[in-house]
Parts: sequence; structure tokens; C-alpha cells
Amino acid sequence: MKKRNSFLKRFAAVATAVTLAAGTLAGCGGDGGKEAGGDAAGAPADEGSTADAAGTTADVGGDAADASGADTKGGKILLLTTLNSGGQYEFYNAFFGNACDDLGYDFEIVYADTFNDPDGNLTAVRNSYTSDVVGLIATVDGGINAIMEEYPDLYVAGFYGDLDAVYEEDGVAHEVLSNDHFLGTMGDNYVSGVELGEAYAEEVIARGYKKISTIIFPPYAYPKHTTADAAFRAKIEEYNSSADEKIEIVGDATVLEFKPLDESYFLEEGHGDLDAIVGFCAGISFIYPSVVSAKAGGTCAPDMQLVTGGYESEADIFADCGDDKTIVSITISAPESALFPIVMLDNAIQGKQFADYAGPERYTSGILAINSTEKFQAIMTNSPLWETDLSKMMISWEDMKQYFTRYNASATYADLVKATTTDLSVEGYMN
Amino acid sequence: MERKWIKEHVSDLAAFGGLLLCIIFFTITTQLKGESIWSAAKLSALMADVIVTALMSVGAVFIYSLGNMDVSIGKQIGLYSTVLVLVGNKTGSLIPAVVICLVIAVAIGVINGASGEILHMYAVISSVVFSMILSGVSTIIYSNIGSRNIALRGVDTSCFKSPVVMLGVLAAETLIIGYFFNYTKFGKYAKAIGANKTAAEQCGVNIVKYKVIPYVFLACTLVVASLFQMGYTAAASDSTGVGFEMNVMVALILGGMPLNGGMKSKVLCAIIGSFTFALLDIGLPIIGIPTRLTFMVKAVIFLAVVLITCRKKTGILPR
Repeated sequence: MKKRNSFLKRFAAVATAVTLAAGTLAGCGGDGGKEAGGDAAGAPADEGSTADAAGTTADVGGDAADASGADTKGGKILLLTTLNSGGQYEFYNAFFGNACDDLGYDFEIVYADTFNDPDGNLTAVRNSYTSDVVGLIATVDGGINAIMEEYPDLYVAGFYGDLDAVYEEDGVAHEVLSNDHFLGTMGDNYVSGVELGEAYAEEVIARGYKKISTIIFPPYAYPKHTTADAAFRAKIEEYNSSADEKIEIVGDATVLEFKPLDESYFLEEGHGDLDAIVGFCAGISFIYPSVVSAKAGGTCAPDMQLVTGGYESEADIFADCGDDKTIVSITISAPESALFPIVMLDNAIQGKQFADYAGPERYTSGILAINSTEKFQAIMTNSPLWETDLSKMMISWEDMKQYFTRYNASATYADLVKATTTDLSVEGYMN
Repeated sequence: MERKWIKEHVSDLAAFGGLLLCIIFFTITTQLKGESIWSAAKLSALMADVIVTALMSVGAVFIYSLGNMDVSIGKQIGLYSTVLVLVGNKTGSLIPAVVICLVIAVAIGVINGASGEILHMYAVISSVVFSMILSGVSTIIYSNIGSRNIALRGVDTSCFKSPVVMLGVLAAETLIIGYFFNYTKFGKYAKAIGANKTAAEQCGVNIVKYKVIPYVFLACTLVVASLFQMGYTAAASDSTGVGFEMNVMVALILGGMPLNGGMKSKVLCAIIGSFTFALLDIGLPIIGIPTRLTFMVKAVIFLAVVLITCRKKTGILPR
């Protein structure tokens, strides 16, 4: 009897587990592409997005019909990304989801290897690859050559990453540049480390700081940061050569091994009375929390400020952003730069490439230099980043369509590049 | 009689049944989505997904049969992949690189196997230490190189992408390890030590020696796995191998391997578990499960297997 009860218990446990698994499978059986981006008819996007279909609910309907007509090709577009949360992730998820929906594609996010491992990225794509996949938006370069070799028909556009492995002459994936299915890259922020360093130096000089330090990610992972730091120091040195009151840069750049800045940093010689820290790394996540803690503990100057990059849609952080706050300046990519990869992919998939497209170039994205209280306020109230409201984009989805050759046969590559780079600035949200 | 047989083989049935269920389920459901896991492309993807985990797991059966585990497996794969690329680029051949890797792997294996017994500590501790050391070595190497990724140039690695080669090497390794595990004293003593170390010792088994030898078997299989890991992309990075030790553990448990070792350990557990794991990897996205949720589904299935195979009285993992 006891044995019988035991067998029944075990059977019940198995049945419960199987039911649970089956229930999960059944519940998850929806369309992954739709899941990511909401629908084009104006329903809010998933992942907490409040966006409608790029703010074009009524107008899009007609064009969507055109897009899914007999002469247009569909399929699935993958976004291979290391982002998995935060305001930019929410935006790109919603933007690409809605854009794909409107253009007649499915959309799915594929989570890249956190450390950009070639095999990890290839495995991620392989495991998500179905026969209808036609395009890939890659934010990482690890294994991109292996991905394109394994899936030769796949069109690939780079986005939100430097893809140095492709563009550097000794890069491990340099051969990708000669692959006609690779369509170019819209970088994240400044592609050039020199430009990044000089931009931050100008900010420091303009703000009148006299004692600063710099923080970077490891050179083997982010060589651009080392270049930026050198350019930054050169620019400051140039300023010091003619300035009455010189700017002191305390020590060499501190290298963060992808861990938040240790609070003992402020106990080191010269760091307790810094005017500002210049973080070429993602300072909002890796430096700011330590600064807040150090201020509370009295181990750094109470008015010390942070010039850095990165973005978080968090009210607490934004409350500490502005001219007289801790975060005085952040530099991020304009979200509308995301138009570049989707246009390039669509043109290629539809077989309607720009007449003036010459090859896969890499571009510095539109830069949002958010360095005043008004600009931080503009980001909160007028940009699509804050609440993933696509109707607040600087260029509406309807206007974006002029850059697709399927909608505008005379569209040019030059116009697309201009619209997604130099035409975008934070002032676009201030009107 | 039947009930007794079922009771004795419940973990085998669960493992085989799980794999069979996955095959049937995905054969049917992927057809409904207009795909097939039996297409050449998907079978090729399946082999590519399974090969490294399976090669590692087959070797790890020896370790797990002792009731031990090695958490430095992932870092070892990372190091050997890096060495294969660096030495391969220097010499234009993978042979010297393989020899170097084997020397390092065997040295690590001997220390891992012997230290636990000699120093009277859990064997896993030395593997934790090696995991940390190898992580540091990797950081130093890639810092000096100035890049996170390195590529092998001038050496043809296309054979490591061939599903036929993968299958052949996996079959050969399984047969070799299976032979040593089932038909020689290396395997029998390993299982005996895992089942009851004191009894084995009383029977005259040299515990240190027969704890070291399984680690040497594992070392050899890790080098083979590294060849396929690196060879597929002809590249390595500072994160190659991260988490692989967990893949091995999950594969073995899915395959019905008793985590505390002993006489019920089987090499086949590694193969069944690895293929089940890979089938879930390949099949779930095809039937429309978003990538993010596939981890949850795999976790539920993993839990179900543990639930079925766990010891009734103690509720601990499979025995």
C-alpha cells in the first residue's frame, strides 16, 4: 500500500510537471515578432512601451497594405543585441518592432553573448534562425564573419556598436567589408575616439573645472576609450598652454573591468576634491552610483560632477541631472539613428538599393549632447526615450518613409546618412 | 517484477523518454510552423549546437561518477581555444597547439584529481581555484593582445564545421570513453569510489591514482572539445567557454546521471542529455517561443527531470 502511494505520488508529480511544461509551451506559442514590437495599428508595444505604431496609426494603414503587396518580400528581421533593459532597449525594441510590422516583416530580438564571444553570438543567431529570416541588425561584431558565412543569403546591417572587428584593417572580421550582403554601420555615439575625447575636453573647459580625473573601460575591450582619453589629454594640454588657470588631470585613466567604480577610489590621493570625473565608459551605470555614495559618505567634494555617456530612464537619476547637479553632461546616440539599418536592410531585401550606395561605410550616429538643465528636461518631456513614445521622434515614421526606395524611388543614400547623423541633435527635442 | 524494473530504471526511462518526447514533439510542431528539425540545415545546426557540450560531457562522466565535479571546465576550454589560435597563428599548424594544450590539460587534471584526496578537501575546491587562475590568465593574455577576440589565420578549420566529422569524432570519443568506463578498472574503480569510497579503499583501490585518472580522461576530451569550439568560428575570445561547466552539469542531469556518482553512472547519459538540451535550443525558437522564454521552458523541463529522478526519501539529486 505504501509502495502504491509512493508510486501515485511520483506519478502525480510527473503529471504536474508535464502539465506545467505544456502550459508554458502553449502560453508562449505566440508570434515572437509581434511580441517584441506591438502592432502597427496603434496598440501599445510590449515591454512597457506606451508607443503606438510610430505615431502614424491612420496613415500607416494604407502604406502597410502597399508594403505587404504582391511585389514586396517579407520575412523576419533579427536584432542581435547585448541590450536587455533600459530606455534605449525599450525604444529600439518598439521602433524596430513597429517598423518591421509596418513594412511587412516579423521582428525578433536575439540576445547576443554578453562578452561578444564569436561562438556565443553565432549560437544565439543559429538558435533563433528560421527559414524566413532575411535580415540581421547586429550591435556586436563577435562572430559576424562566421554568421555571414553560415547564412550567406542573410543581409546584415551594423548598429549601436563600432564593429571594429569589421572596420579595422587587422580586425578579425575584416573580410565582411567585402561581402555585398553587409550594408554598413550606424555606430553608437562617436565612432572616432579622438572626436569623443575632444568633445569631452571642450565640455570640461567650458565648465571651468580645474581638477578632474578620467575613467575608461579596458583597452582590449574598448580601444576607443584609450584613444579618447589620449585625445582628451592632448586637448586639455593645448588649453593649459595658454590658460592662466590650468586644468589638472589627476593621474592616468582609471580602468574599470566592467565593475562599478569602487568607493575607495575617492580615498586615493587627489580624488577627494575633484571638480569632476570624466567617464568615457557608461558612467551612468558604472560611476554615478559610487559618486552618489561617496557624496553621502563625505569622501568626495559635495559639488563634484560627472561628464559621461549612457542613459537610464529613471526619475531618480534624472532628478540629479542638470547644471548644478551631479550628472552635468551625458552624450548618447539619437534614437532616430535606428532608421539607418532598417532602411538599408529593407532596400536590400526588396532588391531596390540606393543608386548612390557605394559600399558599407560606418558613421557616427546623430549625437545627443545633453549638457544643460533644459536639455535634460527636453529629453524627459519631448523625446521618445523617456516613455518609449514613438510619436515624439524628431522625424515621424511617416516622414521616415521617404528614405525607403520602396516608397520613394528617388531616395538617396546621402540623404539617409544625413538624416540619421548630422541632422539629429538634442535641439530637435527643444522646439 | 515489472514495477521493480521500472523503479530501478526510472531515471533511464525519464532520460530516454525525455529525448524521445522532444524528438516527437518537435517533429510534429515544427511541421506546423512550416519548418522541420529533420532538414539538413537544422540537423547541421543541431550538431553544431551539441558537439562541444557532448564532447565535454562524455569526458565529465568519469568525474561525475566519482561524485566530483569540475567547475574549471569552461575556463579550460577558453584557455585551450586561445592557445590553439595563438600557437596556430605562430606555427601555421594546430598540432603543436594541441600538444601544448594536452600538456596543460593533463597537468591541471592531475592537480585537480590529486589535491582533493591528498589535501583532504572537496575536489571541487581545486577546480574553483583553477577557474580563478585561468580567468586571470585569460585577462592577462587578452590585455596584452589588446583585443577581446583573436582569429586563427592561415589554418584551414573547415573540417570542424562538418556535421559528419562532428558525428564521427563524437562517436569515436564515446566509444573510447565508454570502453574505458565500462570495461576497464579505470571506470569500474571510479564508479566504486563514487559509490562508496571507504569500501573501495578497503578493497585495495588506490584512491589517489584512480581519482587522478578520470581527470586525465576529462583533460583529453576538453582539448578535443576546444578544437571544435575554436574551429567552428576559427576564433577565440576572453569569454570563450564561460558557463560551459553548467552546460555539462545540465546535460548530464537531463541524461539521468546521478550527481553523486556511483555504479549507475553511464556514458550514454552525456549523449542523451546533450542532444536533449540541443534539441530544446533548436526546436523551441522554431515553434515560436521567444528567445527570452526558452530559458524558462528549459528550466521547467530540467526541474521535471530532477523531480522524476530524485531520491524519494532524501529528495536530493539523482542517485
